[in-house]
Amino acid sequence: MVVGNGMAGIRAVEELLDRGGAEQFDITVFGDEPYGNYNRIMLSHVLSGEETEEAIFLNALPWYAQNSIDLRAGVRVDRIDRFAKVVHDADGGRTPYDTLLLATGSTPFFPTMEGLDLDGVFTFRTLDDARSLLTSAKTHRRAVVIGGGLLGLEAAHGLATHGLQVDLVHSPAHLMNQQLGPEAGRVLRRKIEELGIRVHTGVRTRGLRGTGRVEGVELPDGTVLEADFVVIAAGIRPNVDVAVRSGLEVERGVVVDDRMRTSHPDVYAVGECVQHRGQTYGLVAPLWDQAGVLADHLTGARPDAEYHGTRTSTKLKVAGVDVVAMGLPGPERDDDEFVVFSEPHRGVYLNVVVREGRLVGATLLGDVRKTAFLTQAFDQGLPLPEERTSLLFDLGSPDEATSVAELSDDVQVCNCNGVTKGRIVDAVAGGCTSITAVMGKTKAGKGCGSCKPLVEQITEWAAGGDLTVDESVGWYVPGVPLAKPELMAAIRERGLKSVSAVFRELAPGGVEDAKSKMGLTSLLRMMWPEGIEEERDGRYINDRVHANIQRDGTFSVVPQMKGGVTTPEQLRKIADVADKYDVGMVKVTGGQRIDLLGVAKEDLPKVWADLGMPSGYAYGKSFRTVKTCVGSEFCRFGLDDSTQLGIDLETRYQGIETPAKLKLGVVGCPRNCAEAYVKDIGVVAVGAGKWEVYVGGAAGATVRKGDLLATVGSAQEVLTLTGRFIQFYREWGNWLERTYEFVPRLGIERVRKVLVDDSDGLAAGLDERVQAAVDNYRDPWQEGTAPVTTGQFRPALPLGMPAVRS
Amino acid sequence: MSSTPRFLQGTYPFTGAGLEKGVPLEGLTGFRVPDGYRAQPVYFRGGNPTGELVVVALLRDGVAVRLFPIGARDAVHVPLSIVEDVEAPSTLELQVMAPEGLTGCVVVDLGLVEV
Repeated sequence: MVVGNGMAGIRAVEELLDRGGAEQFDITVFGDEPYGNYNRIMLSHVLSGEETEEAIFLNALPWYAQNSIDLRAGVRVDRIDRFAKVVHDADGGRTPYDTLLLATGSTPFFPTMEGLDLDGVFTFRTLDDARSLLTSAKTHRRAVVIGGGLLGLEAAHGLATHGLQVDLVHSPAHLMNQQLGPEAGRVLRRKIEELGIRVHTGVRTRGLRGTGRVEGVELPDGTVLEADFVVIAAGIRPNVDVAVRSGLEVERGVVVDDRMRTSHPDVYAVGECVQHRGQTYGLVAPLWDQAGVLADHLTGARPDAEYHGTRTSTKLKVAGVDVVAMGLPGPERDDDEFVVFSEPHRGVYLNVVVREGRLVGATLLGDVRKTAFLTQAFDQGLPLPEERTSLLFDLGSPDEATSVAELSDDVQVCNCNGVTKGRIVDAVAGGCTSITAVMGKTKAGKGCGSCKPLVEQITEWAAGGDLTVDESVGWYVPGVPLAKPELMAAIRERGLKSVSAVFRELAPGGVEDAKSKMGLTSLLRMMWPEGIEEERDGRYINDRVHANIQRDGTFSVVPQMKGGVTTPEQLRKIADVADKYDVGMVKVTGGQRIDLLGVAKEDLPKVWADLGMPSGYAYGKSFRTVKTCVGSEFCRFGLDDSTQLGIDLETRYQGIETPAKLKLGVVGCPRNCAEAYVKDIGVVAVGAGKWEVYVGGAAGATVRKGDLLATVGSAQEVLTLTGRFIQFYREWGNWLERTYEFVPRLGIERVRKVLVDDSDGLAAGLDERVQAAVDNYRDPWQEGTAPVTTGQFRPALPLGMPAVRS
Repeated sequence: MSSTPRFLQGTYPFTGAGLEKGVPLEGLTGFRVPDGYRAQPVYFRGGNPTGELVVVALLRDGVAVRLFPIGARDAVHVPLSIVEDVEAPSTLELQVMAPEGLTGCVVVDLGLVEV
């Protein structure tokens, strides 16, 4: 049981999972906020508009489901009954636990002053805080931020980017006084004032003024800074409410030992709520260490693991300025060496403090190129060069690449996500040879971004100059380093019939990759038409429930309507179902079918049972529909029976899986009423029983007229050629590659040679294999009456579900 | 509320029967764990106003499981941070071991939870 769904709690869970904790523990996570787990450091980027809310999520809600974690988002824990081992939540629920982890983080600190209860007074701690600030920023002009630490500067910067007039009030004499010395604080102040923010340092706030809503901030000399709203960012305090109520030993924070145990057995704590050896931390770096020790201890991976505290070095980008601070901000003893370089106009300030030949402090502002070496010298107490200026400048000292090479593996490169140099090197060794791949795998550089140059340097160094743009471009799926032909050969050779078998045999280290599962399922189903070992998580949500998920989480249901032809009876049935399930909208689609929008997931089986019609495949990476015109029977211009040919095509190839969706059209004359020229496969009647077959057309985000593949003399030949092309596309197309990319990639001449002239002797095999796919077709709607997996038709998101009471 | 606090407490007279031999505290009944529950001792406090060392023993079904020596005119507070569950229908009681013939009283306060 984890109390706290923030960066510390979830990092601990991730570390547990890494060590096989999923087998040992059933994990439940309680979180105050109704969201997944997000990167709090990045809230300032959301406020300044540099990032979207989605981008800051470390683990969105599906991650919890994938890892079988029971997330109680938006449920506050009241108290732990440590004797009964039961957690009481604010909803009145009681949940038993065996081992409990407190990760309640910290809460904003409010200095005592009048007027804190006025409207328009905000804090800046949570996603909801960021949202309220954004809303206020849109409708107001003047803001006052109280607190000139990291958070206050970020808030002020964020608000200034929205064009507000911002005043920053900070009671100590210089900005970021916790991390910086006076001189560095002055240089930083210059940079902040350049952003248009008015900075007032050494000034306490006397109180907030206003009636009902805040109107201004009064300073001791009586001046009042006008304000439409006020942000309090005067620091944070460990959030120990639950711990105090539950009788745990609490001083400034929850007291823990070197194994992160609290005063009560089976209750552990990590993160900002913790006091370890008298020390509390308000930075992320210690979290990573603590979470690792805890996971080592709980899983038994390393029972003797101990946490001995963290020497904090701060590496961040505050209001667009790079700041690195470690240890002492300035000299303390008479014989401390102090090297300073200051260039206020350029916004650069650098210093190091050396005591007895060891680095005991460093501040880098505006120019952070020496971060790597200094961090390591600070963390490990390395001997320093005699010429101290080379600590700050490259004066004939090793260049960047060499200093990267000298970094030890456990130096933390990315503070936001706790990534060491070793992890980056491992990622490169594991096949990531591009910076994007390394960042994707390790999350390094995906926090505040201040470490990106260092990540790039290490990646370049580790790859030994063999840096590629992205070698996985050629792979069929990202998790298996093989192009499609080699992948298919390997699968066939080894007779692999399940996605997990493919990972086990072919992925580096047998590692499963969630992003690769859908593509592999599609590929396997194509290769083994008689059936594969189904693994339900290997499909898109659409393919699992056979309906199209919509933006509000409901589904749209599209019954099959071959060639756009329907009957009064079908229409009546559709209308009845639409009434019965109160669907949001009934829509005729561009593919000539009827779409029932707004069906709840749990209603899908009933809707399908009542409809009693086959699926229209409006959701799949598969053959979807054939659009037709009315053809020869009714149309004055129609040259041939396009409607019937469309129905025949759909009957034959319905539901066949393809690398991406496949939409067809058949028209009875070149007037093109059903837009066959811009379909993946388009068929046009040209008279005298002849048909033209076009491939590779598109009329979506990309518009492309199809290429003429062949002109054939009968409807039967159209069916054959269409099948041959579909199978060719299935075998040679990349995952999610539409035909409008596939055909130009190979060239229409090449496609024509292979499929029409049979230059490579492939035609008979393609025909045979597509026939096998047709023969093995099964209507997935039957699954509605007997779900394949439990939960297939239950709502997946924990939000809004009643809390489980025990 | 899943766990209920229970206490064995008060000031009780005794007559010593030797430091090796426990005698009941006159008037203090033991705590019998009710069916369907379990109990955990959480702390012990004791005071000894006599001029001799005495030992208060915590007994579980007649077997001593913890000893709390209390010096002359002294008091102790022992948080039992390592606890084991006492299942129903066990009985927990307190006895005192004191030099033979010593008469006096002890102050005891045993904190329990019933879960």
